[in-house]
Amino acid sequence: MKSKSNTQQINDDFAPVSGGRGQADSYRRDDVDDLASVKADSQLDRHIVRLLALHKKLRVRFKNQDLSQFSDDAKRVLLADMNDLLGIKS
Amino acid sequence: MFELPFSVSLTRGDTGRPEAAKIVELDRTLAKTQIDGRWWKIESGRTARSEEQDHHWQWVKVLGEQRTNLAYQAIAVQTPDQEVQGAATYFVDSKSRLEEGEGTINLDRIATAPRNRPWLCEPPRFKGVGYCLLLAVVRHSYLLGLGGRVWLTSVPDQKTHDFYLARGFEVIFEDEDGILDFEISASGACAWLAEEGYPI
Repeated sequence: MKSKSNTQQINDDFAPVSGGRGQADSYRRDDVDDLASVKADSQLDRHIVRLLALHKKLRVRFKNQDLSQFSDDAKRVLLADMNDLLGIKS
Repeated sequence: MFELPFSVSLTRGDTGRPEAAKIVELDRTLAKTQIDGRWWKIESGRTARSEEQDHHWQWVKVLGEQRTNLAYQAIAVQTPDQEVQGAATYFVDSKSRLEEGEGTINLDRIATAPRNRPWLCEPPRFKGVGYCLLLAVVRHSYLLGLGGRVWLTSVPDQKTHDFYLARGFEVIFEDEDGILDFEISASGACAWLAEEGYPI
């Protein structure tokens, strides 16, 4: 087992420069709603829109939700329900 | 939810002391003023600079191409002096190649500022920048219900490979030039997040 100081050293020495090749279409999911030109007015909206796009079972359960009609508090309740359904702890 | 900005801690390269920083949203203004116009103003020789994989990257252009795409996210590590110490961009709508049928994040780019690369500047100004960025991406994947899965392409550098393997990433592809694709599984990601004290 590594000591804490060794682990810290490995973590600190990690100075990556990677990527820049772009995502090939073949690696893109085809079961995701199009996010290429969707607008979101806040970080909270963006997070909810992404969850809805990425998870079919959320779209089935929450398909008629219109975020523009929700207060921020109501959106947070909606998000908590979504997290429960997906098993996400935050 | 994944809410920006949030606090992280770096290590000063000269004293070894901790330094507070934040993970922030990387927009085109920040990229223009603190990356494209700043990062390569270092004393390292021109040859050394030009050998860096990202020397030609234009972050403003990269962000501009994806500015309306909600599947795309760009983040940066920013210190209180407003300098950007590293940045990452990623897509949230990728297929897992390790766990079939699952979604994952594709880490499109990750780079520490040249001043933080020990092979260019000794001592580097800050250590731990790449760690904070990668952990943030894994955390975002978890909060999006993707299990913490992230895949990325890495140049053939043994220290970098060792880091990914130590963190639970697995090799999923190797091309003829030795460039490797790595992915961290949901179990590997959750183990890392739990180790960092996040609720799992």
